[in-house]
Amino acid sequence: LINEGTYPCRVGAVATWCHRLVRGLDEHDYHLVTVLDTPAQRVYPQLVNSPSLTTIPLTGRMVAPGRGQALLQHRRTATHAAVLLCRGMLDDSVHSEAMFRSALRRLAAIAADGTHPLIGVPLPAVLLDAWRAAGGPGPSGPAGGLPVAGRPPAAALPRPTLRDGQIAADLLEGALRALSVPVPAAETCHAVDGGLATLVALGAKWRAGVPFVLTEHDLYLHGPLMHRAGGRPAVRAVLLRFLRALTRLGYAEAAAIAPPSERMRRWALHHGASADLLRVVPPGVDPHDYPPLRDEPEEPAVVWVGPESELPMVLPAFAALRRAVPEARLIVIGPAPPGQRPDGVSFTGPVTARRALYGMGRLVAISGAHEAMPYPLIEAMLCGRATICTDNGGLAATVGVGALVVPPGDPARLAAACASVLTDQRLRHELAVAGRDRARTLFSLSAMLDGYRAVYAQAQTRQPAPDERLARTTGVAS
Amino acid sequence: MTAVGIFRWVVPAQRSHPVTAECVCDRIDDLAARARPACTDTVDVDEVAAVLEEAGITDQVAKQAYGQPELFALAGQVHKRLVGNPAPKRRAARPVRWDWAGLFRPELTLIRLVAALAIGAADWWLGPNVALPALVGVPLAELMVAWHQGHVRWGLSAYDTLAAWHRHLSAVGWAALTALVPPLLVGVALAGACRGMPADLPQAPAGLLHAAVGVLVAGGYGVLLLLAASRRVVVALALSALVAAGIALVAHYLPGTAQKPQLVVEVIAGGYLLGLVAVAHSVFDSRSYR
Repeated sequence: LINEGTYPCRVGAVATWCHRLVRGLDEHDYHLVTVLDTPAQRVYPQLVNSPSLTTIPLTGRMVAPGRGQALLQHRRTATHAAVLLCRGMLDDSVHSEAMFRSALRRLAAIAADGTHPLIGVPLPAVLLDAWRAAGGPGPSGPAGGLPVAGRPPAAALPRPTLRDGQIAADLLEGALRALSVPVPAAETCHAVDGGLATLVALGAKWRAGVPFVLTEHDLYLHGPLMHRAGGRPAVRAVLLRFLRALTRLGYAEAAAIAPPSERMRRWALHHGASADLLRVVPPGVDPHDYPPLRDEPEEPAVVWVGPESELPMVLPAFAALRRAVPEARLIVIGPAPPGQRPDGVSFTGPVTARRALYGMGRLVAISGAHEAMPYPLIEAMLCGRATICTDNGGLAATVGVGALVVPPGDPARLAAACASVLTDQRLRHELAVAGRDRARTLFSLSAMLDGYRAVYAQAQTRQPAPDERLARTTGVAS
Repeated sequence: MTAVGIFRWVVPAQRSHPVTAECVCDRIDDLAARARPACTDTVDVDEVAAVLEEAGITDQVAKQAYGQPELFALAGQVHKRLVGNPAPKRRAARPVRWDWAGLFRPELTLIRLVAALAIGAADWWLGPNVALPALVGVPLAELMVAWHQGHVRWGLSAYDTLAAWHRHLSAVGWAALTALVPPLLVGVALAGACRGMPADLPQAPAGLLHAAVGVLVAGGYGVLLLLAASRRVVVALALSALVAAGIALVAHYLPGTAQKPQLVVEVIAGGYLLGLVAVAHSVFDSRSYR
């Protein structure tokens, strides 16, 4: 199980998902691999079927392939591969995809002995050359560049500077370390991110012939690598294209693709994933952990869950709700922000168990952008609470008729929906029943585990062909 | 990027109205205008698609309200408008040409400590004639390093070709080298002037020699600082140790010799020259600045 800096070292939705999967599929033994940008310790308990953990640091000293002729040979091959890699990732054509694949295979071959694949390569210069060739502005002095004639503006990359080139090259060098890490012998790799986790899985497939399952939990645009661009548009553009090329290659090479939501499936199809390989496996929550809440509170209270950045939208919505339902209360799950609290609003502070809090309100409202796994929404639905959510990221398709959906960023609509649910007991009951049924059907842990059993079985039937494997541990690969 | 509050009116208001060919362009224009604050630094159409999606625009909305087959096609249209008609940029800040923050790097502080030790020792041994040139030279050396490093950093952020960057680096490097040569010339000239003086003027040659030492030490401070700023701390420390060892040898093996001050100046001048060679090697090397 390969992930990018989450399980078992950091707490979060993806880590929770991984933990439930590993604990649930106890007929499989897991070796955990995590790509870390900063050192971290295991925070999840070690399970019987996942005793070992490999961490891949993205920083630190690079391992060189020796000296003299070996180093020269490594540098020559790696430079050739780096040129292909940069040219391949900066363009979207089929030919470029082939170049990108070929480059990664070459790099995987020369990194098979654990050396850094790009050591000794003048990557900033290679990257800047590829950048210009891909449609960025031509060479220019310190006064700003001009768009290339004949190129549509959408294809133009932001104008890079040498500093951008250096930063992007450093980040790419760090990212490609993932290629040089040997994955322990396994029947199947499961990459739970589309970025660097896929890179590790690709290395295992090409070197050891291990098929891999791909589960993207979030768009490649939101990968951890993107956060390291430091607000530089040109660097972000390069990293984005690298991750996109990697994601597309992952789709092409994966034995099975199991996105957790319809939204991720749509993105995968848009980026060339084969519909035959795709199977949506929604995230699962154990219904026994969230049994139905029988009683409703006397006062008309709304429990709200969401990111703190949503509060400026939620508080005006609550003010509007108070005009319609004067005795309404708002219970915010999370810490209180600094500043004055409006009347009727209370904050729970950081929490670990949410079920009891859902019981404090007549309805649960959820808004704001979220990852592909809206756990609070599923939990509230399982608890039999009427839920209202905003339609961020196509959430409406996930909840179906199990929750009331309002447009995002619209306090008036949110307030109106809350008012109607708070004051209409029958509507609350209908929503609660529909939500619980839907959550038990689609988002139960057993459904998720069964889904992955089937996906793993599918992956086993798609072993890589012998010619897909790298023939040699060093040198040029096809 | 956040899409909160941008599309509040778009989805609900237009879902109910049929799309006509005339209004599609206007609607997309309008959507692009609304999306602009959330897409100020967008570099790719997929980013626009993600923003639209998080704002609640689905394939169905794209089809019904904007006449596009799907969300990604709508994102393409919006992106085209955003890129084709970029938002007016705020006036860019003037490039920083003085790297004051860089002066606080730990390696430079280390070199300063070494240089302070050298200046203090020379002052204690030879008297105030050494300290005076150093008091003038040290701030000038700090200014020179801030100027050089500032220009180097500015060049990294301004040029997009290695050839232009190397030209810039060469120009800045020659300027720094030129600034470091005069102390060596003045020090050597002062020491040379002492040789030509009559032997019956014992005080004047000693004063001149001490001033020569002061000028060379002040210039040497700049050399060491520039080496440290160019990631050559070890070289700078080795050079300091070499000169200190040379002076110790002179003091130990030639006690009471009349030529001793002259030899000390020559040792420092030799070390200075070596330092200039090391500086020339480092300031033109683009790998020194990452």
